[in-house]
Amino acid sequence: MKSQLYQLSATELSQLLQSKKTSSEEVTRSFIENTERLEGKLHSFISYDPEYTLSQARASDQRRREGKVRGPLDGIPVSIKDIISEKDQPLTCGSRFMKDYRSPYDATVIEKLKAQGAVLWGRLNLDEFAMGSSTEHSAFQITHNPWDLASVPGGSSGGCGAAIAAQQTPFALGSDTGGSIRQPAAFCGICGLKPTYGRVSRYGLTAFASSLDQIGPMAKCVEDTALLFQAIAGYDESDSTSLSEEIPHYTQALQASPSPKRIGIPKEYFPQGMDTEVREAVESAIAFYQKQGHEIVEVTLPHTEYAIAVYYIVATAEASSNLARFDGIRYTHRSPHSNAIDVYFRSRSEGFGEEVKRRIMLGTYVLSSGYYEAQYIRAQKVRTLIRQDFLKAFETVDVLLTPTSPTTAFKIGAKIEDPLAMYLNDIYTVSANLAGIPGISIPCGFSKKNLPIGLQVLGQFFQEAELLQLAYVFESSHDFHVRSAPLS
Amino acid sequence: MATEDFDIDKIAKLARIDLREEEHAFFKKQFETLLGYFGKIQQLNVDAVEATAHALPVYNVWREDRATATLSPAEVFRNAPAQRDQQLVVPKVVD
Repeated sequence: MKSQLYQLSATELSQLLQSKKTSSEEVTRSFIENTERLEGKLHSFISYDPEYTLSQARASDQRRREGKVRGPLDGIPVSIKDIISEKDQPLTCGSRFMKDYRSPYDATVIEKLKAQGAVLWGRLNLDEFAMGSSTEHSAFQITHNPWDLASVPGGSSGGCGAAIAAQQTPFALGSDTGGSIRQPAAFCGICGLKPTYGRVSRYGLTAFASSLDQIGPMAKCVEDTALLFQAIAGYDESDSTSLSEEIPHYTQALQASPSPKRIGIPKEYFPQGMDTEVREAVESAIAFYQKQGHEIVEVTLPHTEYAIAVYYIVATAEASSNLARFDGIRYTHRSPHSNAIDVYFRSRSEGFGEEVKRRIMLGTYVLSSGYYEAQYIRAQKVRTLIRQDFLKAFETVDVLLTPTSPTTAFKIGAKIEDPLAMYLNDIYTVSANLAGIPGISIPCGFSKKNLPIGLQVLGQFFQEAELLQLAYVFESSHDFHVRSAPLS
Repeated sequence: MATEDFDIDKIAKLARIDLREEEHAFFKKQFETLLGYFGKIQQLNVDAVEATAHALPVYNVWREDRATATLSPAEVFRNAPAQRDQQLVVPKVVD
């Protein structure tokens, strides 16, 4: 029984607002109160400012009274991963380096949300500069999974995953470089969409690996994911990598049932010895689609075993270059030395955490003279092979179904001292970023320990509507997404 | 991947990162494991393969040269660690 506003989906809240059965201020207060009730245990947010958020809610209510509503998002709270610029608000990127930074401008996605009347609600925790798969690499706090406080929420958008699962916010914007939206969505039992590379503007997203990064929506259900995605998708002249493909009507697309599809099952994603509970949950989802009249076809993505190595070479190379701007000269943290070289060295050594240092050094190595060809260029060539695997598979199938993550949420501390084990956790998600294709994760079951299991649907370039449709059909016949986390 | 010639001091210096003694040993060991794993990609013959820098085609983009709103100096310098008269204060770089 849903007796509180914070228990409703954004779509339901939007309908209540439209029929004037509640106000944005009431809705927003409900999420603020629930956040304050739970935050001491979860640590999903790096910062929030109730007064700033409530003033936006009151402005929305005023617009509604005056008949100037800006659309379905008007008056609905949206939370933001703390790596996307929101004017005059903190932007820590989960890093000591950026502890005192305030954004001088809005990211394009924030500008779009504001133009549509969304109520911006808080800055969510992440691994430092989005580098991590557990949110344990935040410089400020570890976020706990609302399904099991001793487990991680996934990462790097772990604050988003936990806050949505715990109903501290209806939905959020995350970013996904190698799975950072989809894996925390899987670990927290929510929906997360990584759009096609170029579908959403990256202007105002602090760059980690520019050829892989994408901003995307995370929400309790597929409908809300479509609603938020609709609000942010599209070409932006401030991001020369954004693309001007036509934007379909995603929320409307959900109302139509998908035409029979050929669904590919990549055999490399179901290795011998994989987690039985994950396998069983995904296999029962496959059986569901088959019963719905879709054709199931086994396919092969033969270069899957190289994906992690390629990803961690390409991503760290780009990161080492992007993070060179943090030199102690321009952004907030500067170690006090009289010599410029000492300022660079000391500011970076004090400002960056361990994982970021590790990735900067790896990236520096693979780009360094004598190794550039053998490491970086070779990885980019294998990236071509991985991309071709997908193109070839999509000659015979429309979408691919896979697990999102090889396991359910792992315990806090379990992988923190073993970077390779942490990186291998990304095996099912990194390839989509390397190939540039879209992917969605939805809950498809629970383990015996009551931890959510994620199902990933990967699609062809710009086919997000198809992914949302297929996800919605599954969701409509199951109740995994409406189960409440123990702490919510 | 040849990990035996991985020179952590050289890489840390290039990356402008000072490593404490305990970090030095700890990272070195991790890099050996990671680079050993990354060596997988050496197994493939990629002689005839083009490198992918971007998954989708990225072209240079031109636009009209027109005046648009920009940040004020106060907004630009608000996050600077040290500033004076709307300029960044930096350490002395020439003697």
